[in-house]
Amino acid sequence: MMLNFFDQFMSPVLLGIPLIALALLLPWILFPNPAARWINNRLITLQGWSISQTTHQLFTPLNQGGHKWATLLISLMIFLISLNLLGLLPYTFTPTTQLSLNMAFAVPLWLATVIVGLRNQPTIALGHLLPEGTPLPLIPVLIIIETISLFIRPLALGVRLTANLTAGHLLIQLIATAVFVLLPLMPTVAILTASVLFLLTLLEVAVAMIQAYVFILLLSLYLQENV
Amino acid sequence: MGFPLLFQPAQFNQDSCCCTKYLYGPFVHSNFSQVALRGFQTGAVSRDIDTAAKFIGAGAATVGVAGSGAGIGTVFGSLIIGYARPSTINPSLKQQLFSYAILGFALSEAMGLFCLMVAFLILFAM
Repeated sequence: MMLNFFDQFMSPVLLGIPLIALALLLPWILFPNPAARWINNRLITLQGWSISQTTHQLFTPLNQGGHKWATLLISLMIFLISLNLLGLLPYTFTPTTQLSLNMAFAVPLWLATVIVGLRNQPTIALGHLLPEGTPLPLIPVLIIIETISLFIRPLALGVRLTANLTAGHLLIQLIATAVFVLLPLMPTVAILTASVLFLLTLLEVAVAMIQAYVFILLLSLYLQENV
Repeated sequence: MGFPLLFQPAQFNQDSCCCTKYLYGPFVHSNFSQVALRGFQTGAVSRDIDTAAKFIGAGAATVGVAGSGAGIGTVFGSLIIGYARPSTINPSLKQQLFSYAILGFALSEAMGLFCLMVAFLILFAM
């Protein structure tokens, strides 16, 4: 029975066609493009306003070189938010539960920030490995620790997103199974558990958006150090 | 040989055939010599020492999630204290504070979930 709960994370294949490609393309059709008009309709205006608010909030601390990354990072954030939220619908596959996908997002982007830093300002980029004001005997240890911390970053980015979404989906399935099994036996306990399920679903909606936002926020922070 | 008779995956798991490959793992090398003695196999999984050790390990590893709880509580407690201060200088500081609180929540949650993931790894992969 335990293994049944992990079946929801298996990459679905129908007649030999990997359906994850379809799942990844779905957010593209959900966000309309601005039409060639002076003022667009309400939906596109709202969409544009919210995207520009988020962009302003994320990219104000960065300098001019960092603003070049805005298109990439904001579009990635919209992609991740829509993938996460769509996955909360029943019987929907969430591609971001696959570690391979999240590492494929995290590693190249993190590596790009490191390489940009080392190319353009190598001294400052290497200087980040030593916090200011450390006592002299601690310097070798701290450099080793900071290097390890640097290399853990892509791993943490990818695994954070995967683990949050996987754990959330698993919890929802477990508690829903508990409600379903308890309903004929102890209806009162089942109703209490159903309210827990409702609160958990609200939390999962929040976590879906927060985790995508944090992914991009951390990437922008790593970029801020290096650009 | 006698395997199709004695190891019937249909008894254990009716829904998805993809899981049966996990069943043959603990059976083939541990109960190989006891094929003639065991009368039924569906209870044998939980009696297998290997599986029991995995359960114990997974349960022990889940204790680490408590650190995440402490961390998240600290973050939001500090947020409440920060909100309660008279912020005469800049009202937009509240927005910044909240944004950092959300970042802290996500990072702390990630640590707790790393721990939970190790628990699942012990339970299913090792």
